[in-house]
Amino acid sequence: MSNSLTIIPRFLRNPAAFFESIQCGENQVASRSLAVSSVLFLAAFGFVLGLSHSLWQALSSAVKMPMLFLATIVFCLPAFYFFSLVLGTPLKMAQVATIVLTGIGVTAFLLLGLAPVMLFFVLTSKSYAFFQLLAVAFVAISGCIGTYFLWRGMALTDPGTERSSGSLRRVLLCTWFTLYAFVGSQMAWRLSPLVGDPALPFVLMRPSRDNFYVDVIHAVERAMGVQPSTWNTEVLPVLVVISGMCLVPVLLLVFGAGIIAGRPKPSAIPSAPPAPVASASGAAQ
Amino acid sequence: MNGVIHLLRDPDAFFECVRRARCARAQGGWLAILSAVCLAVFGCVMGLAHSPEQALSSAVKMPVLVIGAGVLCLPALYLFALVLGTRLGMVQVATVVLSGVGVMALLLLGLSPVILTFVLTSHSYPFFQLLAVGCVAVSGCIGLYYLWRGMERVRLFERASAGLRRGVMGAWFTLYAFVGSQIAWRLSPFVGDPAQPFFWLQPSRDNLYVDIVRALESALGLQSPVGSMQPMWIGGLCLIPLILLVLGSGLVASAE
Repeated sequence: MSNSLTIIPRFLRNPAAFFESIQCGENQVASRSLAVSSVLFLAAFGFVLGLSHSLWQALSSAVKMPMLFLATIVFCLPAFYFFSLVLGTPLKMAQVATIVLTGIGVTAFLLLGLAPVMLFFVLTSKSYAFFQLLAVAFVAISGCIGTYFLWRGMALTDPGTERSSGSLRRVLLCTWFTLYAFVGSQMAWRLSPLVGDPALPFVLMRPSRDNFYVDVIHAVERAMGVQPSTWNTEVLPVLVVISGMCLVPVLLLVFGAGIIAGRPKPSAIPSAPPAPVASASGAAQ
Repeated sequence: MNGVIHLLRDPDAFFECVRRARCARAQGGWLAILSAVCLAVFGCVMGLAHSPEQALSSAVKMPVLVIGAGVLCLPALYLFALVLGTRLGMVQVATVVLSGVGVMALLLLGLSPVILTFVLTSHSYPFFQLLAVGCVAVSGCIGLYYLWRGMERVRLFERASAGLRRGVMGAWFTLYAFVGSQIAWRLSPFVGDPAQPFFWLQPSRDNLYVDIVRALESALGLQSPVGSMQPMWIGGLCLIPLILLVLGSGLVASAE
């Protein structure tokens, strides 16, 4: 238990050593501790978030915050791992999972640090819109710093070649960020409310919330005074196919450029693959 | 799983092995099975938005679509290859095609949990369709890149000049897209419309390109006389994004 609470501060004091141990494959204990500490810290922040409404909201948000972050990881990790494979990483799934958990662990630790500030405003103010904005700002800041550690983690565990490593990490980071933001925003939307609206009674989940992206489009349409789009079942499938066909060249350019930029050049000597050579030189030292 | 991981970690070694016919049959078999399983899982998740029967039906249809289109286009590819001087056998050529399909299938397997999130938390049918098309497009592009690289590495069109090689590969990819899109259209629905009950195949669907033209006409409020050649011309114009795609993929892949 004490290992779980101290793992993030220990990691922050010496990230290089931590990531070296991940690279050597010693990551099972680390993963478990990181997951436990993330759950605890996020629950604490969620509790403070919900306290502005009622004790029930505090308890419900304390359960929902860890669920939001960790469930999003679970749903995004397979896609991220396979895309990393395509982009040329030598890491295994367990190592990628530990690195991702490190990023989330740092985010959770920072949110724990910001929880007293949140608590101060909860105790001294009653402005619902302000709480929402403050919560979003804190999560955004902590998320950015957590992502920075994810970047460093990839840099330290996956050196690659000098030419390609920077752009490969950049593409990997963009991939993870896109996936996580895409899935995480939908999860957050459906798990609402996290900060309870004081005008409404406590409710576990708002049934009217459906799909984040569709709701955003409808909200924009309402704001601009446009009629909400009605989906014609005759035309729609064809429009979906056409939009898919137009999407393909754009996606191809993006991913093709990423793959070309990120992949190390095939070596001139076809016989020996790079990994045994690296381990042989490592053993010889 | 090992074959595809080997392919992703060291594609050049994999294709060298296929070129020397050392492992084509075994790897080809594993790639076919793995692709079918991954595509079935993806289809299952797609159809789950509607009902368990739709999930089962899409799980059957996805492998049929992707692998079926490959099988239909394989003789044409082998014919092109023979004419342009390949020393490879049919099994080796099939393995190269399956490598592209395998990468696409693996990425779709990875993206299945992402779709599952939306299936479990949302009910927007147009969004599911767009998401499914987006996922297939992304995975298809990356699979295309591996297929292109594989064809270059196994020296599929040995006697052709670089320009002719690119042209023939581009033409074959266009054929694959052409056949695949028509199969997809006829095998619909993959994501079931929640407003309608479950059924295996939509009888009103006939030919993708004619239906595109008709849909555009109805969206724009035009009327074309029955039996005119106009739909064919406009359908031909719709092929241009496809051709741009394959030529673009060739330029990108051969820029290495």
